[in-house]
Amino acid sequence: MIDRLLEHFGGENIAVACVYCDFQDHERQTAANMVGALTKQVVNALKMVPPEIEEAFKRAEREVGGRGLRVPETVRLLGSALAPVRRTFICIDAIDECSDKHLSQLLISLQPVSQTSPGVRLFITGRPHIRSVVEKYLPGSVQVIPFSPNSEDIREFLEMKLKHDSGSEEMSPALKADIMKRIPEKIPDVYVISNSISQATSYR
Amino acid sequence: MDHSTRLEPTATGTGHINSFNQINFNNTTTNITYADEKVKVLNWLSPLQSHVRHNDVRNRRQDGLGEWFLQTDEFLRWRDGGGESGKATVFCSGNPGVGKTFLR
Repeated sequence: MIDRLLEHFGGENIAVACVYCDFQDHERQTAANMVGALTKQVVNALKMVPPEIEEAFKRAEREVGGRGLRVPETVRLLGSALAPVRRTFICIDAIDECSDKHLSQLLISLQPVSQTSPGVRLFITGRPHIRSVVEKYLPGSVQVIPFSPNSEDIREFLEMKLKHDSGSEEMSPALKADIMKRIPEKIPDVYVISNSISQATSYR
Repeated sequence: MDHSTRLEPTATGTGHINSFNQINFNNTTTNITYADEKVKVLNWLSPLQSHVRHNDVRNRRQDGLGEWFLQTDEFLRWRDGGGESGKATVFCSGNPGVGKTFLR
């Protein structure tokens, strides 16, 4: 989706920044680091490092041993980075994989950004159960769009898997055709395509 | 599409660092000095490197997956809206493995 946004708005004054939350990376994925990662990507899209950020960096450098950024400061710096950009798309993937402690801090940090900057759009993905948490911290500004793959998605996914399967040369065309026909039929309301596919291809 | 043409170039034209793009240093000493300084600031802002994961996703995804989602009115309103029009946040809700991450 990031690439699609960049293609759609190519050439315009836009920035896209994303964070992929990961169960296995809780130690590094603190709210400060995640907000900092967004700022980093927006700054990178700018011609110049905004003076406020430059100054904050120099101040931190002067402190003995250097000092990590704290959440309020990263939020302020994100604001400085966003100011010169007409449109910014911020994507947070798999927000349910964020640790509880940092999840609320992250959403609180995004609150002022999403509510006071008209050019900022937030795209958050996550399991359905996390919806209420997102709505709690970003009240009134959340549009929920459920995502579940349709049969066309499943067919495309199957084709990709079969194409990249190391044994697909040996697979008979009839078996391939059978897989392509049966799996989409058998999965009326698929929600774990990847698992179904790996099971299906291991039958051969 | 090479995304370094999509984001604005840096002032020195040295390309982009630590974003969705490859590190691309070139040109004069002055440029390298500025780029170095920028890299320091960027690394100070956060140790996380989203572009690494993004490139992984980009290499594994299948074009066309979830195309319908990106054509929904709700999504387009969110993408094209600004200010009062449309809500600022989309929450794309789905179970693990459905392909939310791989939306193109």
